[in-house]
Amino acid sequence: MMTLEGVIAAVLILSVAYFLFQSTMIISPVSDEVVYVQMRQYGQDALTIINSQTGAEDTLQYALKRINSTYTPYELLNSLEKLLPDYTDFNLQVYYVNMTTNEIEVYNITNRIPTSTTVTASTYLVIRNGNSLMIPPSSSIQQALRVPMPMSPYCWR
Amino acid sequence: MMNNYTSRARHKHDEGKLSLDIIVGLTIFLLSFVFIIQYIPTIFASERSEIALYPLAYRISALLAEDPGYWSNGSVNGTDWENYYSQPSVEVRPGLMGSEVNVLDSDKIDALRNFYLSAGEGEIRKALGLETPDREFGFNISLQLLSSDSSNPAYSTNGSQPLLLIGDPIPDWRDVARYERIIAFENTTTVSDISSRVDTPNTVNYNFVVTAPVGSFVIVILDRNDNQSATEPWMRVDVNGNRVIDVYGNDTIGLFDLTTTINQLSGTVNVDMQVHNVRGYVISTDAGEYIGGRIVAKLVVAVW
Repeated sequence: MMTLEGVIAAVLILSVAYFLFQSTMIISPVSDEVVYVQMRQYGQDALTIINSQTGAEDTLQYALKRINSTYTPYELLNSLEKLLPDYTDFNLQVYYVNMTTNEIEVYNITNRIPTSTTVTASTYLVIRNGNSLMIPPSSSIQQALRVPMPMSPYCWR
Repeated sequence: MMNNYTSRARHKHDEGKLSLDIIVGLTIFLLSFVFIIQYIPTIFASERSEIALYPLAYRISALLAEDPGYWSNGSVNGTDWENYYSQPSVEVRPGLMGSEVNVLDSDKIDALRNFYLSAGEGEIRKALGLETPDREFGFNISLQLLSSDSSNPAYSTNGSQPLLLIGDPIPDWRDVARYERIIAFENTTTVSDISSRVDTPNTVNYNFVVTAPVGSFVIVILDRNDNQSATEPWMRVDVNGNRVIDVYGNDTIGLFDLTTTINQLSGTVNVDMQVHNVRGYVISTDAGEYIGGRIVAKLVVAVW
């Protein structure tokens, strides 16, 4: 003879399992990659847009020629915040060749702490002949005529 | 004797019968088994069909944003497909890129919209590679403002019409892959409601009437006027009678974004501008935001 308790227990277990799976989506690594690809694309596109030769104040060309101890490129950072979705945050870094030491050095325009779900996008930037570059902000002038600089906006969810 | 007979008869009567416990237990087990087999795969995102659609959406967005397109009639070909898509016996692959990657040509945007209207959805599907022998993919391609999202789409417009909105409405009852690219318009003037040049050594008044909300309203002062004998530059701007900008000297040179100020109001908004000895321009547009010296929006590709 079956017991009523057994049937009720079975129904209860099934109900709990159903509601548990209903409210949860198991994200596999493959689908996570899709999100990362879109985030990296946002970063890459944003760098492409601000790496223009229009001479506007919120472009990389304009900002990097002026970075020193007193100049912070607020216009550039504001534009990056507009370009990237609200749910992302970013860091902006400049990798450059110090012509005195001949070493690759990093200058952090922003210094936020990336999370474990960070992706990186970068672009090269050419400073034209005759324009000096004022980084790091210790006022040592880099006399490099052509400087490749990967820039890394870190975006995380 | 009688008892033995009754016992045997009862035993014979019970043979070949299942107890109710087993039947109910089997039923619950089978129902659970079928439910789990059908349900478990769908909770893994990797098994969902839209994952397989993402490469398709990415490919179309890359073709549109990073390629100028292509046309051929068998003997002649080129990338200016916007001039040939309507001719017979011409194969077309649309691309929207202008002079650089991520910078879209307004003529090609118009051509894609007109190509869709004249040739129909099937031809566009074929041209974008969204038709295979065993499947026709649904698609929706549009230009949207940066603040737009899937639940509340805000399209880039010029006048009252979306600059680009082709394909079927995005269904909410099936899996859809959506991929976005950030783009700029090559020609600012063609996607602006107001594109006014400001260039004077004297004091001049300008009045602009816009309807809030606007995608972007910016005043860009590049420099002083070329007339070197003029006095120091200055600028005053009133929005509906309230002074919002009052700058003098070097503070006059720069970008002044009035988008937020105007969008805090509603209906018709009057922007009165008084300038002296400046060179620049004023842009009002619903096509996107003014970033990096260009109007910027999103190219959104949805495939299902």
